[in-house]
Amino acid sequence: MTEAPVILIVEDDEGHAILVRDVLETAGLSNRIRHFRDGQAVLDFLFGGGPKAVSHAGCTYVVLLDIRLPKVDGIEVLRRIKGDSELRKLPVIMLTTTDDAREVDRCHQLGCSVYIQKPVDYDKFTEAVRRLGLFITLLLVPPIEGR
Amino acid sequence: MANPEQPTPQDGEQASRPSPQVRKADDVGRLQLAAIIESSDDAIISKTLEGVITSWNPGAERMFGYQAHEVVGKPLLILFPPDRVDEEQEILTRIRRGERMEHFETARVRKDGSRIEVSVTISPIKDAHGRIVGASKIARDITEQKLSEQRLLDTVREMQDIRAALDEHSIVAITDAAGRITYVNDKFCSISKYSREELLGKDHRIINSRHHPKEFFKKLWDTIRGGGVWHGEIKNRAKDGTFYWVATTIFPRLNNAGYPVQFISIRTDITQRKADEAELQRFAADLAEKNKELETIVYTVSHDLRSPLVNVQGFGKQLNRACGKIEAAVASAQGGMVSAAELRAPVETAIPQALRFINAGVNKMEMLLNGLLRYSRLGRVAFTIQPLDMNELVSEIIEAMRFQIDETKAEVEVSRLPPCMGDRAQTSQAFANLLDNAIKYRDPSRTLRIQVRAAVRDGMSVYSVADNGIGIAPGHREKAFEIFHRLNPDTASGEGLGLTIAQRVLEREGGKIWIESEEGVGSTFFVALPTVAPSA
Repeated sequence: MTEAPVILIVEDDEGHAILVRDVLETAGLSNRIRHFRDGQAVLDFLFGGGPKAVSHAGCTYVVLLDIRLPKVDGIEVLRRIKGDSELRKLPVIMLTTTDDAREVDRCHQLGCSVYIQKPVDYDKFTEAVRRLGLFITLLLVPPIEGR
Repeated sequence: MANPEQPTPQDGEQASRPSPQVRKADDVGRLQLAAIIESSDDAIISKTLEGVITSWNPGAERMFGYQAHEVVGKPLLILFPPDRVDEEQEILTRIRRGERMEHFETARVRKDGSRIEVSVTISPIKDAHGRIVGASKIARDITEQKLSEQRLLDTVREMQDIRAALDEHSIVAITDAAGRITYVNDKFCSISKYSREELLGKDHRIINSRHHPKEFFKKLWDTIRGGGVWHGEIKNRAKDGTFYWVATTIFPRLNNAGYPVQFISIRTDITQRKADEAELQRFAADLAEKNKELETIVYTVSHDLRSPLVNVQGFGKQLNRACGKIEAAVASAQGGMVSAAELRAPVETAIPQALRFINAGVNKMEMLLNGLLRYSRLGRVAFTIQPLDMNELVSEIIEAMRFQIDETKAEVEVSRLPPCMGDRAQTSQAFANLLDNAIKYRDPSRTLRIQVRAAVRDGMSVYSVADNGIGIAPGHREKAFEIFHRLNPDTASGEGLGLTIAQRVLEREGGKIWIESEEGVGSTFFVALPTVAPSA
């Protein structure tokens, strides 16, 4: 296996971001983690403000994406990622408090890899994120080609 | 009809002595007459000037039930019903004067006592010298005829009553085959506001509302010209320009060849029902929209309320863990001394962080609940829609915001604003929100300029609040009005409710709000509200 993928957490709630990071670290993940506080920020990182992905040659990412986000919501971020010929290879894990069936359906239609609801109960939350962490370590993530 | 009847022995033999040939021909004539009298269905009777029956044919036998031998020699009065006995005197008097009575309708009584309606012709009988010696009487049974006349009369009366009832209930018009109006009832006149004189001779185009397409009337005409009955609902225009709806049935009257000669149209006023239906549809559409809105809100709120809960639970657990560490440190204290190093992490980092997030979460939930209550109360607030002087209203808002405006050194320019219809307090709040947003989302690198302008279009006063702030990217504009959506939570405070509430207020006032914006250049919010009616 190549280098562990960088986990891109897109989450406007700072508390959630800290909790997720804590749980992942406690679960023993050593991946680098980057935190984006709104949809625009992660799009800027991936696309550099342009219509196509900027060069991330050789990098591997896993995206943990919330839906309700300021500026650009998670659905739009997902659409942009899955609409790009190179970035579409990224595993995108929806991690959100919403369990609305239509939302779940929409995300799968758009090509999300996994949809997980954040449980309010902390033990369940921990368990969910821990398993998610273990799942991530098993992922074989293709690197993004340079352009 | 001539004189001869049953000849009496003395009758006319000696008047003139005709030749044998003549006499022979005369005999043939008498025989023929006798045969006619014998076979007639009419009763043919002769009587003396005193009213005594002298002859009685088989027709009379059948009509009155008496055989000739029973009545010849008896007074004719036996046929008269008690209430008609005076007639005989009158008849005999007139006969003596040589008058003839034709088709005199009266009643007589049969042998069995039953009444019979008869039409009688009575003529004087003269002898060879022209003296009146008696009367001939021909009676026809008209009981059946009378009966059918009565039936006809009853039918006519029934038809008249049905028509009167119809006129009481419906709007009725009759046209000829070409569609020209030949009859209208009072209801037609009163609903169309045309007088009868104005309508007669015209066709129904006089009340055409132009609501229905040509094909509609073509179908109608095709149906009734083909002899079919047409049913439908028609919107008409009265003389004063108002409109009314009628449920209509058009019934063609056909001639023997099957072609229409008249069209009878019967209508019922359904204007109110139509108005109710339209209103019901508006309500249904409104309700559907509100329902969708509510669904969005419930969805949004359920998500937004959950987020802080995750934090409260999560950091509560972290607080537990920090306490656990402190307890462990205390338990392992030696000689009452607790290692500061062991306390540092929980006390300096974990506990303050956890408390910060728990507090923030609780505050966030409170804010969301307050906002939600404010939004939901808006639906129950009574609006007082009145003409608003927008110059006054906007200048009051600017005065109230003077501190913020001065602090940010913003330039505010307000043009002359036309009035509009709205609730004063709610409209003021909506505009205050727009100005507040302009200040909140200003571009710190340049002086904020806010321009408030207006134009009147299609019965709406359209106001614009334009700024040169940071602007909104295309993808974010639709979201701006979404409940609790915050475009820039980092740089600006707020609960994400201002525009949502402004939109709801303006919609309830019959107006709307929309954005035009260019990222990095500025945003313009447009608000359209109904203009003040000229009469007001």
